Amino acid sequence: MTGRQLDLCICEIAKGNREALRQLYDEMKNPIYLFALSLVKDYQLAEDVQEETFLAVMQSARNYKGGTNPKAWIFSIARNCCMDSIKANSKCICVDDETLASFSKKEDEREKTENTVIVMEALSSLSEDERMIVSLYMFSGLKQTEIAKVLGMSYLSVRSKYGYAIKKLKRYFKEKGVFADETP
Amino acid sequence: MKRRKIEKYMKDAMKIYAPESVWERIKSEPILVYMDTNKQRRSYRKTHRRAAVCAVAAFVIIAAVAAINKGNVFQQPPIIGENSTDSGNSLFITDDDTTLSAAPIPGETQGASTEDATSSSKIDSGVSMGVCIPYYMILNHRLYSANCESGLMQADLGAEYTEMQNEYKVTVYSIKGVPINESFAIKANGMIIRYDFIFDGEFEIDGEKYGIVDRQAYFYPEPQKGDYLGTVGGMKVYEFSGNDEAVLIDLNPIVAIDGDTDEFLYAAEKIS
Repeated sequence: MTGRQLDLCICEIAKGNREALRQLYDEMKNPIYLFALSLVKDYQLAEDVQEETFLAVMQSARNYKGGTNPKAWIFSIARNCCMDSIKANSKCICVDDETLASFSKKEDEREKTENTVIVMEALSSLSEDERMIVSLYMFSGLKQTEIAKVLGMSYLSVRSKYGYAIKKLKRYFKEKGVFADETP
Repeated sequence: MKRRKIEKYMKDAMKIYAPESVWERIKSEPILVYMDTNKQRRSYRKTHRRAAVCAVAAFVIIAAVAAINKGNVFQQPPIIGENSTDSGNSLFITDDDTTLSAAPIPGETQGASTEDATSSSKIDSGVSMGVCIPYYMILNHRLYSANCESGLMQADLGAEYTEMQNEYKVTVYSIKGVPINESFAIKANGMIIRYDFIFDGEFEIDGEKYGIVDRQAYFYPEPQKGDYLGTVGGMKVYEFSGNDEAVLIDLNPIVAIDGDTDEFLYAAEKIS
């Protein structure tokens, strides 16, 4: 869905069109969920954030300024929902074995799930800004200029933070032995 | 270790799909609907600016006439309420008035069902469902514009007339003593709005005959114009990308205001 189509979709939601809401949900559910998951680091909380984000979109679509960046607008809402969720659940939530088991019980998916946990732990080693930038860029498909709008930063700042984040991730994966079987 | 490799590894590891259960929880939640605001209007064609002003004026006049005719101006609850929580330039029609049947209303842009409308009105006390009255309507490939000063009453209406345009259903009422190809009326939350004929939207290009349809009939996905096909009566005609059975025509010469140069693309379907 192009930005213009998303734009129209939000305007239709503002008029009460549930078909448009469904289209927006199908388009944005995974990016929002992954973004939330990388920030709140808990599957249940990420699901709650996803729900709150869509509810907020339903309530705020009427205030959306058409012709601006719809993805940036939606992810700004998602980010605020994440921040609220993190504040409300200030205790440290980590991905433990139980979560791991509940996420995937199939043996053939275990390796993928373990990779997921490694990536989530790697993300935890980043600062909050870096984590948001990496998540929005890699998992949600936003451009760095769009990320700058969501986070209220300059494009250059986003770009340099992303560079630092990649360096940190590279170091983390090296320590964990990821890609160890490959020649440098 | 290359950056792209890290990105690929992380993307693969995070190929997780959001649970569908969220949709089950949000699908029945009410949506705060809103009539055109200045902000939203920017995203639409400028046609809507005139429509909103005209519709507001029509509501005020018709509501006043209706209330005076009933002789209970001061006893009836107000049927038009200004949204005091916002910028003050948006009007809402409450769904208190039940004197008219809840027939489908062409161009009505709030939730599809009466249930939706009711639930919307209960979200919070200040906001009720919004009804957007289109300034232009198309019936039988003919373009009509809203007439703000008609003062029509229920007794002036004749038979109901419906037409399907793509999957969009248009429902209008004839006006007694007036042919429907000249004028018709619609009901919107107890209000009756008259539309008068302004333009015949049937034309011929490349040996095929086409007729314009309402913009609601092809609102999503947004029609994308293809190659320029030619000009008919001063209006440019383009291919409708992905639809061989229709073309797009720019009705700027008919609907533009004050030298507006924006395109006003309407789909026109092939007439057999």
